[in-house]
Amino acid sequence: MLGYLRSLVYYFFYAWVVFWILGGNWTPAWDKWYQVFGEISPWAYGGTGVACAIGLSIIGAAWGIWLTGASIAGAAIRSPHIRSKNLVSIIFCEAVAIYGIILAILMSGRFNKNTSNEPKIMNEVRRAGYVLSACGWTVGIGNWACGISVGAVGSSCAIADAHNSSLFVKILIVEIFASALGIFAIIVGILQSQAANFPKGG
Amino acid sequence: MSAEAKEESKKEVQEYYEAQSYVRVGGEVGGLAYFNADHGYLEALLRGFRSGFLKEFELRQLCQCTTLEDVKLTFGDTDYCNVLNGVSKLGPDNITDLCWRKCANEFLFLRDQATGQLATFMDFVTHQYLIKNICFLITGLLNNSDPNSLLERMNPIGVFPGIRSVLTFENTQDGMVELYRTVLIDTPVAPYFEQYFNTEIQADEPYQQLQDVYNEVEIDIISNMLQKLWLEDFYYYTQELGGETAIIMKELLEFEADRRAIEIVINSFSTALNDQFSRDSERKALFAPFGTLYPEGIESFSKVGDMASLATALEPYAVFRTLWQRAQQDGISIQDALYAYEVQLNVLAFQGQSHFAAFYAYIKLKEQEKRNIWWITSCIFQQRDQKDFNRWLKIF
Repeated sequence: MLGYLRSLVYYFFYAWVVFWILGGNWTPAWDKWYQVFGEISPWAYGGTGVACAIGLSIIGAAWGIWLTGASIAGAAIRSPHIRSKNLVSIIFCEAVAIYGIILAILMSGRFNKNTSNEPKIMNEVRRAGYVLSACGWTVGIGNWACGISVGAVGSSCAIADAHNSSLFVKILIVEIFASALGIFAIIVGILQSQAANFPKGG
Repeated sequence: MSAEAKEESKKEVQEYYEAQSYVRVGGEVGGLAYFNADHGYLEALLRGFRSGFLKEFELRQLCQCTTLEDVKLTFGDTDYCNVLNGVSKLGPDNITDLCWRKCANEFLFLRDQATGQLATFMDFVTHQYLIKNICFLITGLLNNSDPNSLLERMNPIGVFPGIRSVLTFENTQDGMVELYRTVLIDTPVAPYFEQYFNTEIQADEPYQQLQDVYNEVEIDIISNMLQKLWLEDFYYYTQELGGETAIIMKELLEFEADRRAIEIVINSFSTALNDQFSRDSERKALFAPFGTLYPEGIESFSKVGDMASLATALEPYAVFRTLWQRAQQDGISIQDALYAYEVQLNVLAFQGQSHFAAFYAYIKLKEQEKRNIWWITSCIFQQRDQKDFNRWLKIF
């Protein structure tokens, strides 16, 4: 972990030196950066927000199913009775993907067509675009972490259940807490998407 | 081509490909989030096998048996239920051998499906048995045993395709070097033989050792030397793997090195290795260069010539001091006390997911279970008193 942080610091230092040499100024030219990032269309911000919401949620859910499925397949060889009960772990992982798709549908319903060039309207459009982008990242990264967490616990749950059936419910409680993380993410996501108002117009 | 010749050539091709599969894969093993991709299925399978160990009440039931037929009935409720089917003459060696073969089949089943670092790790575990098998075959040849019975009595885990060629060993001058050049160089344990020969060549009397005609004691020493080289290699490999595996295996392998050192010292008391001169040269070369006892304990072993001085040498180490005291209080041998501690450590290796140490601990605990079964069935066979039975150790 420390290795990653160290390489990240080195990367930023080298980037700073390069921009200093290229730009001639050792402090970042914030107005020029605003021109670069500000010129990206707010529709693109909104669109990638939706993409993150659904894409990263699916990655998290898939990762969780992959972790759990391998353990269930192995543990069920000696203890076939765990097969049906442990599908609950898979369902918890699947629920994470469902959260993602709910949010993606909600978010893509907020888009409204608007081609006007008035600065006031364009500011409104930009605000909505940024909020949708943030909403997408919230839901996406939250569900990604939730999916992995549920998967890791689900694999331990399968192995423990194979050895001793009374352990299943106890470890399932841990898994329920893990899947609550996804719910937190979509609650915040829903609130954020309510704040994304694309103004209607020509 | 006749059907037999076709069979032969097919078997040769399969042996060739099996031999090619001994590839060494290094690098780090993923943690909780990545491990299940490659190794999750096999780990879950291994934990299924872990549930199949004989529990304490089953071992007590075995102790209550009066004949070996009762043992077969008692096995009916455990994982060993089909092992003794169709066996006409039951004896302790027979029963133990069949139980061990079941365990070996399970282990090799796991090994066949393993890939990547897990495959290399499990290969390391089999290499120890391969070294023991090769030395067992050579010792058997020195004693003029029947070759076929030797092949049957080998440990099934440490079998390399073409191991029957070891039977061509002749106890003449250069016999060992010839064997190495023709047969052993193709085995995965060839590097250990090579290192052993290099150290011998650099010794005071080059080539003398290799040109000797061997007797059993010397083969024993060679076996211990090779196992030390294997243990060193295994230790550095597990440290390379990193993560949970490295942490747990460090503890297990360090204890293995210490236990091996103590056992070598105890076994050397009545042999030539105990001479003042050879303590520092030959006996010291058999100790591994890591472990709690290294380096000060190993240094103090040069002054150890009997059990009392061994006790003094182990005084500074808390673990071994308590084990020695326990051995004296309970009236068991120090080797049994070490086995008991080893069982405790290996059981702890199963606490935690996503590491390879469970695979190593599984084999070690199965060894203990083999000792348990052998002791109990021998006591039943010899019809000893109930109090003699208590040498078995509870595993889980």
